[in-house]
Amino acid sequence: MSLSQLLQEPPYEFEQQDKQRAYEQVMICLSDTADNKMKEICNNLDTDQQDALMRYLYKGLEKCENSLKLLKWHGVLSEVAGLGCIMRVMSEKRKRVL
Amino acid sequence: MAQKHQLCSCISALAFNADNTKIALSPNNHELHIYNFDGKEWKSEAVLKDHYQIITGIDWAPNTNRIVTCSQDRNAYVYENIDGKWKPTLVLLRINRAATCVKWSPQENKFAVGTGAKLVSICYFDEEGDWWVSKHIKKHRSSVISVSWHPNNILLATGSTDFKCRIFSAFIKGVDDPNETQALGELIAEYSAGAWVHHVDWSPSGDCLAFTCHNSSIGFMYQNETQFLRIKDLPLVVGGWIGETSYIAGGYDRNPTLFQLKNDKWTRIGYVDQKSTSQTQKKPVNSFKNARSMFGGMVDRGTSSTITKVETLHENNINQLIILNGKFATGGIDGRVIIWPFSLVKKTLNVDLN
Repeated sequence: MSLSQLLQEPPYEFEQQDKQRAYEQVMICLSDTADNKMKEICNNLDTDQQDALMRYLYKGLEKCENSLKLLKWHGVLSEVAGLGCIMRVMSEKRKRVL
Repeated sequence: MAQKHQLCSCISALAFNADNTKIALSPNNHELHIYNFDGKEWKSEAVLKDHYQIITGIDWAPNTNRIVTCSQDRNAYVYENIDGKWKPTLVLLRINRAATCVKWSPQENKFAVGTGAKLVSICYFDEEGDWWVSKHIKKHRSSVISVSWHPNNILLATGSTDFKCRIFSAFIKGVDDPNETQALGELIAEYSAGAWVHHVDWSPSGDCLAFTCHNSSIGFMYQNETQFLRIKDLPLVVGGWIGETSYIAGGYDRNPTLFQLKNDKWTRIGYVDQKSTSQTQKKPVNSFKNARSMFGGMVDRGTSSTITKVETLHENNINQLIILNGKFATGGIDGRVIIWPFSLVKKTLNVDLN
């Protein structure tokens, strides 16, 4: 599945094991993307997808897996989506956890 | 051109009088300073030290010329100008936590105080007892950080740190028209936001309610539906209405942002504080010279870090925004009060403000 498909309907309301599966899929997708394609992909995401991607990035960074790639994604996404996207991840209610 | 005034080192509360010639502010302490504008600069007229902790809210009633202040010391004072002197009257709010914000009602016969005690205190003057009496509106789950009166003098919108924006009835028997059926404290509506609701604001006609949230979003309750705009920048903390279709807001970005209603959809127009294109053209940089001067600075002057230049007129967050006649003023925690004329907004963003 492409990244934008994975981010289309994030599993906010799902069970823990479904969330884990979705997370693993997203991580595979993120690590397989070439560096020069990142900006184009981020530009094509809408606000909801950008927010979801930022949440996945922070979740991945929290687990300390694949940090180098995730930090590269974070830099690109911050530039495209702005600081507001980061604010939404940081200040969100517990309900929107992935 | 925007006028910049450095009045103190940090502003915690700000209010203007009716004809915008006087300003009441608190420089992040227990003092209330009143300044007078003599045409060129602001001169200190009075320093009132009735509170003993930081003043968190000031509101100046335009018709009755009364100032109400509320503070972290759980008190509020109403000041009346008698023979050129400001005479304070203590208001017992009966709260056990700090007061966070205060607003006069449109008819100026009562005021609402948001508090950290999870309630709003509605105060009115009792003629028999010759004192200000307070009634409480509860039903909040956390501190109330913003209040706004609807033009009908009855409805009150509150923004709280429990992630909700609520509308209550603040009807007071004896003060308001007895034909109103809603009782004091009745919850009329509740809107969920994703984070702290920093600022709530009714439009001048009362048809639209704007509320800014800490998750970098702004909600407009317009025509019975809430439109949320997620913005790319840092959260907005204060705002004000210009007419019915324009909303100006400011916050951690240090730059006022304009929102307008276009085809029934609220959209972000842009920043008001933008340098003209001629100024932002960078001069061609000789990188060797740059590197040499940087290391030279470290050796000669002991400077080890580059000073980042702030590009906006405010050097720190905007935490006050007040709409005046033909212009609006912003106050920041850098202690600056900047007055932006509407003509500057129209010119910079190429819009019409009705």
